[in-house]
Amino acid sequence: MSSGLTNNPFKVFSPERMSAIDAVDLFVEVSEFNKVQDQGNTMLNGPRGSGKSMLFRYLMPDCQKIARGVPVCDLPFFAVLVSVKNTEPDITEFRRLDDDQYTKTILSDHLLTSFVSSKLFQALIDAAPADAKQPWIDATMDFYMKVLEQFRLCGAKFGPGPPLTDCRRILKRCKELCERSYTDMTGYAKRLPFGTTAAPYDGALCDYSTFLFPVIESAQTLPYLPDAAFYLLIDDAGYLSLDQTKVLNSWIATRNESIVSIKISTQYDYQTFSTFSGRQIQSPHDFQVISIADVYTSRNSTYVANVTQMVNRRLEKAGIKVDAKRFFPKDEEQESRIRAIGDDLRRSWHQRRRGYRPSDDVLRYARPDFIRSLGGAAKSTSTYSYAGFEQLVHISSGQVRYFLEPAAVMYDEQKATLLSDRVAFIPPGTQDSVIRSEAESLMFKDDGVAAEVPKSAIERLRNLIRFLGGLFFQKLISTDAERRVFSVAVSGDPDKDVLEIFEMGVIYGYFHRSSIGNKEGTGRTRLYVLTRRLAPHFKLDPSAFSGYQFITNSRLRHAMNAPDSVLRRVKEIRQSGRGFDELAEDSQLDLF
Amino acid sequence: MEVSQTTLDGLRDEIRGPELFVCSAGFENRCLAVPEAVVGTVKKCIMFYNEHDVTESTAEHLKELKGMFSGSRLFGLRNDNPIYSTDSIVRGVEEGWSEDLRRIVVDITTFSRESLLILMKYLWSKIGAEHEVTLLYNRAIEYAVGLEAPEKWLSGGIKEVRSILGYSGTLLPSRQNHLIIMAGFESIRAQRLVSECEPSLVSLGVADPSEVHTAEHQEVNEDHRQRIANVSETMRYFEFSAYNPELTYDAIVKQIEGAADLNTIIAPMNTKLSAIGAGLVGHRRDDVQLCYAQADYYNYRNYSRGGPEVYVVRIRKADLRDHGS
Repeated sequence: MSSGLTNNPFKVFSPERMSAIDAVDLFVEVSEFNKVQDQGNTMLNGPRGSGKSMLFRYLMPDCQKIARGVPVCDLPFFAVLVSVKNTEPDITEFRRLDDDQYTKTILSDHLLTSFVSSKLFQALIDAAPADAKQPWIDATMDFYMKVLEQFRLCGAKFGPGPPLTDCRRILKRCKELCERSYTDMTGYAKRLPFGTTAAPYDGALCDYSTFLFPVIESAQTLPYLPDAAFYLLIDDAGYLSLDQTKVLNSWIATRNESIVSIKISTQYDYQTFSTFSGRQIQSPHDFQVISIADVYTSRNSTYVANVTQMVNRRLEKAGIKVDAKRFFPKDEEQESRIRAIGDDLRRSWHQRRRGYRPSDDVLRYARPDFIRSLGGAAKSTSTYSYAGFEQLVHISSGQVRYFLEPAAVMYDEQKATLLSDRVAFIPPGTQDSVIRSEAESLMFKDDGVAAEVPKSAIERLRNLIRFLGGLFFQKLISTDAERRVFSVAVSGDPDKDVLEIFEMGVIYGYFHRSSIGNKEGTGRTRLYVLTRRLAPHFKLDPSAFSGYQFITNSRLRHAMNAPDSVLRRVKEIRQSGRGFDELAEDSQLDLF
Repeated sequence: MEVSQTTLDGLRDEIRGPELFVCSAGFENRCLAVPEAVVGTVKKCIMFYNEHDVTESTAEHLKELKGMFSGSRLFGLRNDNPIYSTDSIVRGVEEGWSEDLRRIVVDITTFSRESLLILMKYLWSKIGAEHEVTLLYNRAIEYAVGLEAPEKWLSGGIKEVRSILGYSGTLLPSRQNHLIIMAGFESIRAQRLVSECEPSLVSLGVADPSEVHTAEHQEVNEDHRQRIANVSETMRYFEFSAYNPELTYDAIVKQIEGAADLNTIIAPMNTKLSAIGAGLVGHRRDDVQLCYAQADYYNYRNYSRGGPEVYVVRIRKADLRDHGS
């Protein structure tokens, strides 16, 4: 992978296939890391590209032994990565058993247990010494006999096979038996496509309590492994079928976290918290929840610092001897004009006194005032430059992938322009044009749909985004005290269908979800933060800290159907100087 | 397996009165072309339609087809429910089957790729040495009619990615995945497929531009290939035949053999004839999985425009065995 980084330091690699050295070098510890690496069941939620898989990769034994400088047997935990991809281990044929829930439950449990156990045995093979001494080989043989015994209890008829004298070979045989048990079941599925009258399944039926848990307990006694909790890291658990999700929940419900801690990552798409017995697993009783996206929306965010550290490491690894800020320089002409506006604000602070300090006014108003000075017409404001490392980080909206992907494109473009592999920095013009093009493609992806499906949820989502982007622009160029707004909260009770559109936006990466105190002061309400990746499309200032706007449910519903008419009224509100508070009150509904 | 070409006008002579004719009513006008050409020569007809998403044009086409083939039996498919579709396919084929049946003709033009492959799996498992299955495919001369090359689209979004019934393969948990995409005009679906499967290797195939009818779609094919190429870190490229299933089979197998230590998943997203080629791979090699990315929506209004040519593929039981066996 290092050679790949030399070719382009921003190339995105799947953490699963990253070498341990690269993973350790590139990993940047985030504040949530301690919560994840502590013993206990955990659910890590975050959109695609927010760093969940990288965090799991870093917990794996090969990385941990480098990071901590100790052998595997001295690690405080032993992590097994189980990456769930779409199409596996879910097989469409099993849907034929939908009417036979009992059979389906047992088969799902077996399939998931075998799938995870196979990953476990691979992790043990990777951790086992190549040249083990006899006591270690004996211990591994004892473990193998225990595995065979558990298989026997699950109905498998595996014999011990010929004698083996090598730890890795012994563990490899465990894995092979496990895979045989897995393929026996998938082989049964192959007999199901055209009906359930095929010969009955007569292979092993493994489950968590009869197979996986006792096998892990036994593995903890292996001399080259730590006598500590095993972590099962289930990456992208949203891809599990509903039945497999219920199986996993029943594992979590056993709460033997000192022996097995289950850590799940999802893209907010975990299918259910129910177990097969109908019990609900709950946070914090059964597991703790960590939301990676909240990290960016909180005022205590360390995201910019984390990305800076990560980019500096990538540049260094690629042999580029400048830091992130120099590599992605700002548009200096624009910055000097913004500084001049800031100086004016500082000088006039005593007359206006909006913020507590002159620097507050500079921070809050200099850039919005500059954008306003470029003029309201689309052509003028499009001259605002989105160059500069910090702006690019803000635009990535808390998802590292959305910094790296456009940065990789910028790097390739610059290489092509220079006809050289030696790129010393990315000119502001290149940064700006790539980031604008990304925003346009995000805004218009799948375009052509609206005409085909006039009342679809997709169109309502797109209308909502157009409305919010337009509203935030009007706020930005207004004379309001709070001009930089990227978030919206619903005043009063939001309707289910309005929430569904927002939630669809969360899944597609257009919004992050957070919460704030409600307008009445009686509790909390959901806050939806528009992705800053769209800032260039709507000519918004992407800087980190920004306010929010309360809007009534009925106005949002109206905007989802007719964004332009609502935006015309918003523009009138801005021009009248009345302030935007009326958007949060139902009494003004007749305005729309 | 014989592959030949004829025209809609010459089709009657080519197929010589099938004992069982199987067709599909869809939203594309193309679903009428072959039935109109063979009407009057068919002894028995079973037809399928997607009851999950009946557009106005589907309903019109259905009416026309029922008018053409009196006594035909109609069976509903559901894009969102492969088990339901499979049971319908089984019922339909059983309805049309008889002891003395020998020649079965299937107009594959407007079946969804998933339904088509399930139908093939069932037929292929049912036929004996005495049967001949003839597949007819009315070639489109234009897709996404009226749109310029970069804007051409046929479908968008992905509701679900699933293995195709009958082609579940054997994916070993300890192996990484090799995703073979047979790309067409649906780059967004293909991109989503890559991002959801996260394969360690992607083989991205495009229709062989040297084939007579592929060249005219080449600009669009290339544009969509470029879009997909940006989404994976390990990608290799190959070409396949869009109109000859046996050649398609050969091209895919070559890709599989080049990555023998990986699980293989094939996503057929090009012509129906190339999907048949992928189906042959799944039928002959039961370790290979075929997958289907169900679209959120289709370009109903301008999907395609049919031409006068028809591809004819004749398959017998002996053709279903591997070359080497």
